[in-house]
Amino acid sequence: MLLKLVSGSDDDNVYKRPFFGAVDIWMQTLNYFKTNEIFVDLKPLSFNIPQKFGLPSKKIQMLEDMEETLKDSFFNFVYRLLCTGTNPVSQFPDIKSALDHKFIKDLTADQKKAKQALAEAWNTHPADY
Amino acid sequence: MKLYFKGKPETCQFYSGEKDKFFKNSINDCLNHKLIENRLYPKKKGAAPPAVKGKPVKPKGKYDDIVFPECLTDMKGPPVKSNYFNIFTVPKGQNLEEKCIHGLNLTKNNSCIEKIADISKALVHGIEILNSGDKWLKHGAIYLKNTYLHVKKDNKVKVYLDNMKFETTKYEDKNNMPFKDDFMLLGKI
Repeated sequence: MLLKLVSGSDDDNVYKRPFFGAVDIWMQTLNYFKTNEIFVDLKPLSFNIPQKFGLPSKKIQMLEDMEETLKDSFFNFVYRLLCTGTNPVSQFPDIKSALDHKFIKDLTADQKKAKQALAEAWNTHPADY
Repeated sequence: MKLYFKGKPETCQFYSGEKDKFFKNSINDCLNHKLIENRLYPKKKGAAPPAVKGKPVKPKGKYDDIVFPECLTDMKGPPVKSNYFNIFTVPKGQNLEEKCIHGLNLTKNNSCIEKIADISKALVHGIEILNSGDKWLKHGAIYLKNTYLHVKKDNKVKVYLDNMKFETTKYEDKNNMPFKDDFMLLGKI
């Protein structure tokens, strides 16, 4: 259900299952948007994804590193929800652990917006020295 | 004969106490809804909060971002012999299916991504309410069409979760609580 909210589509064929991890879900969503020319950014603070994620890097990035980068993100949250009945390693063992996931615990949408505005202001204003 | 609304009151369809075998389910639904309301708004000992302009003030709930429709039937009084209506409040806000699903016409402006954290949090709060206390309940119908988003003037978000399916199954194994199924529904495509 939450993935439908993100993709904005109720078509079951948007995603191919099973998912192999948070990066896989992020990648499939990105591909869907690119293929269908949907211009929605998948790296806003709403997803709790670091701004640098997905950008070209000189270093070779391992999948494990990318999963680690996304561990506090929406995509990790959804992956773990989905694993509740399938993958005992990744699943949320109880409701409290889901509530403690940083994606929903850290910031509300308003707080994220304020943080984003602050970050943008920092980039545009000259340094005070 | 007692009459119960089937579904939303505006559809004007009724359960018949004598003919309809699902009649009793409707009474149990109402009782279960009241149970959920009591968990969400636990009654505190002491004096009730003062009324403002004659309207009673609703006590502060455990979570203020999730709302379940209330069953308005008064179960305390004597059974009414003529007509009996089982009325649920209509959810406030916009239906997520209508608000967020745009297919290939999705844009930054009509996307619900901005509220995704608030919606997720509220739904997990709702599932926690259902899985607390002595009787664990499964929602079993967490779909976009059953979820409503109400953004208040102060930008606070309330999520209304409608159309709960009450099961007759009793969940007694703590290692197999019904929240697992609802989590799967949330994560499912």
